[in-house]
Amino acid sequence: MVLIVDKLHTTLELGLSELNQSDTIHKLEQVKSRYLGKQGAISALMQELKNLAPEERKGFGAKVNEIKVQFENALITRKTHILELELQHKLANETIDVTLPPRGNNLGGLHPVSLSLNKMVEIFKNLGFDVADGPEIETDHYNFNALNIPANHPARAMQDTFYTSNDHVLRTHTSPMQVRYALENTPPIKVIVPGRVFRVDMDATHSPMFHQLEGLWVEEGISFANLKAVIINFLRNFFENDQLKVRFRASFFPFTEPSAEIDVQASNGKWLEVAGCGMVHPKVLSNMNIDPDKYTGFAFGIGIDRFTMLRYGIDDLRLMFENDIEFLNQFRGVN
Amino acid sequence: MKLSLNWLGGYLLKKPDWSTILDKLTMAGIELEELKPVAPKFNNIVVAEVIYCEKHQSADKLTICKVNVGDLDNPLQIVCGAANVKAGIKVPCALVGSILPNGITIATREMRGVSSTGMLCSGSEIGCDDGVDGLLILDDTAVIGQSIRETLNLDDEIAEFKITPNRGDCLSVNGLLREIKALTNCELKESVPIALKSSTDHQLDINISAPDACPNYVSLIIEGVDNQISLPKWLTGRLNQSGIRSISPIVDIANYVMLEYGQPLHAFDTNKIGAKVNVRFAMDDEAIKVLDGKLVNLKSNTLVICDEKNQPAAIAGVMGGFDSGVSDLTSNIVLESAFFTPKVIAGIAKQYGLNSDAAYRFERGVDPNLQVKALNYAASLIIEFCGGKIGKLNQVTSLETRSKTITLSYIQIDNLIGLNIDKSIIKTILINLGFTILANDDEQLTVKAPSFRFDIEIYQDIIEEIARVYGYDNIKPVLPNSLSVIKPIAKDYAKNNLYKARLINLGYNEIIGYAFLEEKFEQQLGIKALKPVMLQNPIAGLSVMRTSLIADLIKSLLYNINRGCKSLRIFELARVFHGETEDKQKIRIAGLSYGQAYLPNWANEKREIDFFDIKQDVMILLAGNDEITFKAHASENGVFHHGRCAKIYQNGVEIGILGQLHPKLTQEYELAFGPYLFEIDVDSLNKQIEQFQFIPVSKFPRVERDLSFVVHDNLVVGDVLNLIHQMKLPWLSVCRVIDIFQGGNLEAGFKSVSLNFIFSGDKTLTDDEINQNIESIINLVNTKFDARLR
Repeated sequence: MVLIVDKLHTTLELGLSELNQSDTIHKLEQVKSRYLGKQGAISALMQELKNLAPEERKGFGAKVNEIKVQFENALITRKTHILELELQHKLANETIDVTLPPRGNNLGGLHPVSLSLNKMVEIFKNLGFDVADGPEIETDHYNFNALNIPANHPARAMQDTFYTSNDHVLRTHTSPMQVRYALENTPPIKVIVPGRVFRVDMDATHSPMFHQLEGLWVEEGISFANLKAVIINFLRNFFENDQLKVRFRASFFPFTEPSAEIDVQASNGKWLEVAGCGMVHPKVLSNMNIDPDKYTGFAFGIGIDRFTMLRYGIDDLRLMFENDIEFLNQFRGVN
Repeated sequence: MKLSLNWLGGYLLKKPDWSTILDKLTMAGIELEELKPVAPKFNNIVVAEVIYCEKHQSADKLTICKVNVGDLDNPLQIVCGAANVKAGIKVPCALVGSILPNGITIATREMRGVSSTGMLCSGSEIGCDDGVDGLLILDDTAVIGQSIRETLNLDDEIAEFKITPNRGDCLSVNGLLREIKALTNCELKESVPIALKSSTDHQLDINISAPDACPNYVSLIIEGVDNQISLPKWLTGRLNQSGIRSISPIVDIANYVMLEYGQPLHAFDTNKIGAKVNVRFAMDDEAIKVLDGKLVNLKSNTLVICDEKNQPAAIAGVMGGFDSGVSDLTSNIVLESAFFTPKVIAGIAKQYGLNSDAAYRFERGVDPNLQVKALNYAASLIIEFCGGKIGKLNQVTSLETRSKTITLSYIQIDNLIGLNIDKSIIKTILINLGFTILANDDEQLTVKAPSFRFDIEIYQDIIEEIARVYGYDNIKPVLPNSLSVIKPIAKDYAKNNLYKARLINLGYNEIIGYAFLEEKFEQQLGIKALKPVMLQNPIAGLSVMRTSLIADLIKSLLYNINRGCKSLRIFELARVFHGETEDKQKIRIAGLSYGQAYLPNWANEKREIDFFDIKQDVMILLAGNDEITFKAHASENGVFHHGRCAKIYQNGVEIGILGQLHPKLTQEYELAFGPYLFEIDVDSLNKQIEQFQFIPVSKFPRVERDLSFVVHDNLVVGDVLNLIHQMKLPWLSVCRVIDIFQGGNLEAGFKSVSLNFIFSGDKTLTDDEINQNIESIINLVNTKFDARLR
């Protein structure tokens, strides 16, 4: 009996030692079957029962079970440990250099003029303005006559005009759309017209093609004081500067009366001319089929390129339309 | 217009505060564009007389001078290097201790062993470059010892004003003074009336054949003038400062009076035109050689002044004739001072390509009450400087008093400005501006504009006058209290922005090209079937309105490649021009993809961009637009590669094109790869957007099946896909190409096309139902395309 109990302990110690030497699940399964399998060492111990005296059988059986439970517990512990080790190993093997750059392509970007334009539209949208668009080859009528600039008027010399034929021009401003839009809508009218305009001028500070945003608000009771308020609010929103100083200077446009130039104060204290505006001239209202005795309105024209340069600190107009990718790339992800 | 401030200031009673005055002018519409000092800062440079010269012993080019700077007993010894130095001349001399504009301080120093105490100066050394290489030689009348700043009137500034076309009345010293007085209440010195005494009774015989065009013509004959004298420097200096070149005493005086009064004058040589003029419109076959030497073929819209033989001697209000003008030898002149109707002169100078200060003023309007006054002033200056005898003034006038009166109510003023301005302030402003108040009560006033204002026609013009003098800055901004219309943002604008956003996410940068380009690029890359719109007056060779956006993409590509760029993705959204009318100016979006598909990378993923990359981009761009299809297009226009070009259709309507640039052009542009391009007519596309319709999501399992067909290798797979699509199988939701295979155990001339199908429906689909669908696909494809299952 003593002998056989020793055998129990030896078997257990041997089994536990084999478990601890197993470093893979596969090896562990082999050890398991060597001890718990039908032919396994612990199973073999049970065979010893029949060789024992009946009074000894009960005690011995309990002992074998005890060993079996001990072995099984150790097996589970070891298995958990190996799985953990294997996971750690897998993670270590799969580790990459996450600081390497990705392989694909970059985001593209909008042209800064489009960025500014979008922001302008956003602001005027909040004020309930519609957005319209119109032809760039314009008739002499809409570009000039309808805006109270008759042939040979000295005001025509203010804008050097590209002609495509005797009665068609490249629009010198977005103002023709004022009339086009007003003819298709009835007051109250609130519309902005962003677009390309053209003048025969090309040097360091002039591009033969540039962008304007035209605005028109016609309604009963609209005044110059209203014009000032809308423009000042727009400018302060656009430049994100509540303190921006804005001044209105008397000027002349054939299609507005009174007319004004709009200046903003730069950080160096200098005034920069950024837009023109005024109360729509009664002759222009008449050309829009709007009764000038009943309605008044204001109009403004903003140089989008100028605004863009001010906003982003671009100091050379020529950069704007060279389409140099080094220039354009700077506006990726910019709002 | 450029003017010396001292000239203006000379007529003001008190020393002016220019900074306030110029600011007021600017805010009231007479914008100061630039203010430039006549000379840079320096001091201690005085008028000196060279009294003795001798050659320097040891330097060929140096002269040792004795110079009188005010103390004749103690002349200075100055060594001078100028070639034009000689005894007897008066020149500027920088005394010891003076600082020159270039920062150099003058000190006594040795020049090759000879002591020199001071420096004789050239024009450029004191910032008054006269173009002479050498000392600035002063008039004999210069006062020795006087500061050169005083002698040459250098303590002055030149103001350049931007005069808007409506304010022709401000194109003169007197006009600006009038405006200054109205805006600032500065008092003007009283002007002394000019009394002229006729010495002869000679007068010009004037015939006005076109009185409407020339309502007032005044002339004076002056005989025995000397047109070879030198006018005082202050006078010609002022002309130069205003940008007018000195020509001859008579012409200079005429120009001087124009600058001061605003009245353009003209002088004829009496011996050349005779004693009679006729003012009439030109006849179509007449010609005249004008003062700047140009031969002008006259048109019948042009008013001319004719000589006694009724031959054109001047284009009225624009430019005198070459042959009838004054010369050095002229001694008898006819001086003309006229009022021409602005409309008659407008456009004439431009019509003949002439540059004329006179026309510039007449077009904008010259005060019709000014002619006699200006003529008298000019005559007095001529007599003073050129001598001569004055004949009798002759004036032919049909001037009607311009009596246009305007009535406006105070309510109109308040409403348009948006501010209640005190009635007495309004009246004061108008009176200061020269308006006559003819009647006024509590509600309204009736006013008449002064004769020099041509821009006052309607009551709004008067309101502008009130507002600008009151000060735009004093008008309180008031937000309109109505938000009467709120419209949804224009659909096209939103849609176009969406297209842009998609391309940006695909790595494209937006470019902006001009709307016009060189003929060469248009011919190579434009739409060949069209006759493009041409500019009549192009600049920099950009003469054609683009018919396609592709050329500008290629131009940008070439520009960037020249700057070292190797791969590029760019796009533009803009109009193209297929005619002058609105419907021929459609908005397109076009893109270019060039070079490598990936940025250079550590993973060695590397391949060139191919057709299917850009097709993918186009499909993403157009996602959400219904029924987009592609058809092979063996383009014959030379822009695209014949075998790598497709047209894009929406619901069978052509909306665009994509493909690779023609290899011939790729070679001509010396490109390493053939760029891929697309161009889509966004306007047509936007109009075809269909209403979105929601389809319930199927809760039943999807069934996938694959089929491989063996077909002739020249079969276009798109045709197979279209055919299956057109079957409109109700449960077929996806059909895609998953493999193309050639070679192996397939016979030559055939390829295998594997398709993947996904079926789903509003119930669980049975095998039988799916199999029926698959069978019908197999049968149709087999019969239509001579195909078999692999």
